[in-house]
Amino acid sequence: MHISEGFLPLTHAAAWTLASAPFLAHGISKLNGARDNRYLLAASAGYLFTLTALKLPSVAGSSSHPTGVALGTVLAGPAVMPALSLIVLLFQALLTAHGGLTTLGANVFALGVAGPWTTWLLWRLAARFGLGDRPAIALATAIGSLATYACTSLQLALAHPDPSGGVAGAFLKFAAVFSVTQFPVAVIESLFTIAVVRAIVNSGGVRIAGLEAWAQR
Amino acid sequence: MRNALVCLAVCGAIGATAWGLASATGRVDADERVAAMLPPPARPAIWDPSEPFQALSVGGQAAVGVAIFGLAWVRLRRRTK
Repeated sequence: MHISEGFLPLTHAAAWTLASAPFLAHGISKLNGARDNRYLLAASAGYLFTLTALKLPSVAGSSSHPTGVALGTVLAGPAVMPALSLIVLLFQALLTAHGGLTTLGANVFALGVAGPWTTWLLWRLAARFGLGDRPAIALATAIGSLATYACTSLQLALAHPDPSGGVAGAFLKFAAVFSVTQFPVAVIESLFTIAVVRAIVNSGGVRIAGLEAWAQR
Repeated sequence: MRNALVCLAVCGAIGATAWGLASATGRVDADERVAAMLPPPARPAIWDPSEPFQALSVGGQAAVGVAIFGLAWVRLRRRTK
């Protein structure tokens, strides 16, 4: 989902940076105020670091990486994810040529805002409707992963509208390419995230409303 | 000592897997597929590391991630004992 250097006009890059800024500022303030939960944050950051480095083979000769935002969203809440995403995206922009510096704001918005908040809202909604914790986390993780790529598709569509179909046409075109690759990866990520959340909660170091009972089963 | 060695081995294995996936799958990354549908970039990358360096960095990123996650998990478990 990383938009590389030069693929967004400077005005768009600046607008997405401005859009990310309040989320980022809030996330950094939450990080500073969450010293008691520093190991949870470290686990979330490590998970995000690892999963975004794994380019998994997918269908039709393509590959993509999981987003890794679901664990941090469930353990530490979606508010801190922009700050964690910024660290990962900066590392990747500088060392792996994945993403870019001027597109950092747009990428933070997709990975740190759109994905985590979609995951969190779906997780909470699914739990409220009695879906069960495991299916709720699986569904939220998979849809959150796809939402990250949908956000990137929208960012690219706004910058490069289709000559005939406009922004909507371009969005569908980009989202179609991403979804073919990302759907299997999102399913794998959701299963893996369930296992990791379960392991962490079972280890006893975490108290998340509604999850302790699930981990004991 | 044994735990540290196991931790290092896990970090190395996952880092090597990430490096392998980044350098030798022969598959086209979804981002590259979409980038191919776009006009050429308006600005060159500020710094464009070589392919081997990128693959090595990806492997390093995965290994660092596993190390951070592992250490955090150990501390979480220790805190509850």
